[in-house]
Amino acid sequence: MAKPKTLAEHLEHHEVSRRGFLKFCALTTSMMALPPSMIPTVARALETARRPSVIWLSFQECTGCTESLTRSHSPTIENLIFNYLSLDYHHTLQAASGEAAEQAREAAMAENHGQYLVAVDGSIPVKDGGVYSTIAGISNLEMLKQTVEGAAAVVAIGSCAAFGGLPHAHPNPTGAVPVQDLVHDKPVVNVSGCPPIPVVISGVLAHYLTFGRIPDLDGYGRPLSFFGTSIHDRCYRRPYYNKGLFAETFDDEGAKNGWCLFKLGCKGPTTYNACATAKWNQGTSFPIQSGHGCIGCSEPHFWDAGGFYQPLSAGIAGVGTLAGVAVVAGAAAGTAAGLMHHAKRKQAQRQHEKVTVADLKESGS
Amino acid sequence: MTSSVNTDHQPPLCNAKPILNELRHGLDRLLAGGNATVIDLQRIPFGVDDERYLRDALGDGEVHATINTLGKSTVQETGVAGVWWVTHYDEAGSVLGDFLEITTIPEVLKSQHQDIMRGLRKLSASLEIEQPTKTAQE
Repeated sequence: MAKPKTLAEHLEHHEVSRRGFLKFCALTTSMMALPPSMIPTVARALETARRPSVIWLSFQECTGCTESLTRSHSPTIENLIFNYLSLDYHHTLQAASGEAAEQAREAAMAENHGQYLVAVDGSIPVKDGGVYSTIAGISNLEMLKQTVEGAAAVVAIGSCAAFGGLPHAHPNPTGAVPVQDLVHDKPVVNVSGCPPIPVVISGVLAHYLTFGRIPDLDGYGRPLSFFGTSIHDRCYRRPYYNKGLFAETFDDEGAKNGWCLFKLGCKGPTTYNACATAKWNQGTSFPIQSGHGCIGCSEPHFWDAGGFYQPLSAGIAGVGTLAGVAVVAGAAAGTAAGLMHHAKRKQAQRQHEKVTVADLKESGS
Repeated sequence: MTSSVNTDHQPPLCNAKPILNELRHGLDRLLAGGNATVIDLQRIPFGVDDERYLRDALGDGEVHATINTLGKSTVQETGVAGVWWVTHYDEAGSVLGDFLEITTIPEVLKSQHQDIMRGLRKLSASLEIEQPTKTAQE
């Protein structure tokens, strides 16, 4: 049999029945956090979906994002997604190294020019010409520029790639910046979290595979289907908050009864992510369910946003950084300039139009 | 649920009752025009007791089916006819998806056109071996 071209052919090649395909579609729809009424649409799209090439760049990062994904709890379905994607370069996972690995990246870029997806984990150091992180003698900055040039879209995986993360935290010795500060002419999806929830990573890739476009995004460039509601709004402890029942310390009666952790510094009210429903470790639990407040790891600059145990209602006194103010502002989506940049990027994403540096300077002024 | 302060330490229900109401409306729709409804339980926040409450309220029905493709799936009609609990597992037995379907029979239980065609080809091929003089349908 010839090499399968569409996903339906790929599944048939692996002797998966049509019934298996329906199961796959139901689970993929759920993985993308789309309503079940979309299952027939997803099935129709997946029948003809073509195999996309993915180039995964790991920059200034701790490999936690890749760990999150590869230890994901739904191996069957995600293996199918990942077997179907053509992961052409991932220097942590691939066997090749050095020049052979870089040749694989360059070959994938040439072969799929204009159509491949670039996944980035880690921030990019730009200080002193980007010398603080290099791969095969190429700075992260240069490699990002080279690779993104022919990409269809970029997925920034993890809070470092999305917002700068730990390397960007004060005093930011390497001048680390997120992908969206460097890529202005391609659609950028931010899948934030430290690490991001594996199903959110695969959900975004599945969305691209299914529909050939990136999902709808929020003000921070994150997929709305996963980041549309706050942890607080979806928290099973929310009824206790509404009743005014709080744990005051980690070992009092309130903590033992599972009451709300707001007073112990939970950042659930200002944090947007899918932890309360997607959960972690094979769907076992998430931080709040394990008795610890949310630390807000999917929000910009969470490292510099004050103490993890300081209640949100204590205000920002003592935090003393602009980053802290930005986080307290929460869903207000940052500065007007940030919004304008986002609007431009969103427009580019819709129309595949190039946005120039001059456009951005104009919108930011 | 009363608005008084909960002091008996019973965890409050989160979404079990709204889901039961959604099922009630879904059954009305099914009776009126035959439209099926699917609820993805993994996208709805559950408290500690929500699933138990939901299972108790719906009870167990007459049909239990198991599907073996890409890991196991169980399809069970609940004690409320027309409400099916569909759970998909991976090959290691971990739950991948949990759905409530309001329908006369979940789609995934039906034999699918492509599979029937494949079955027919297989059957024809096996008959061809036994009766080589007959022409195969291709």
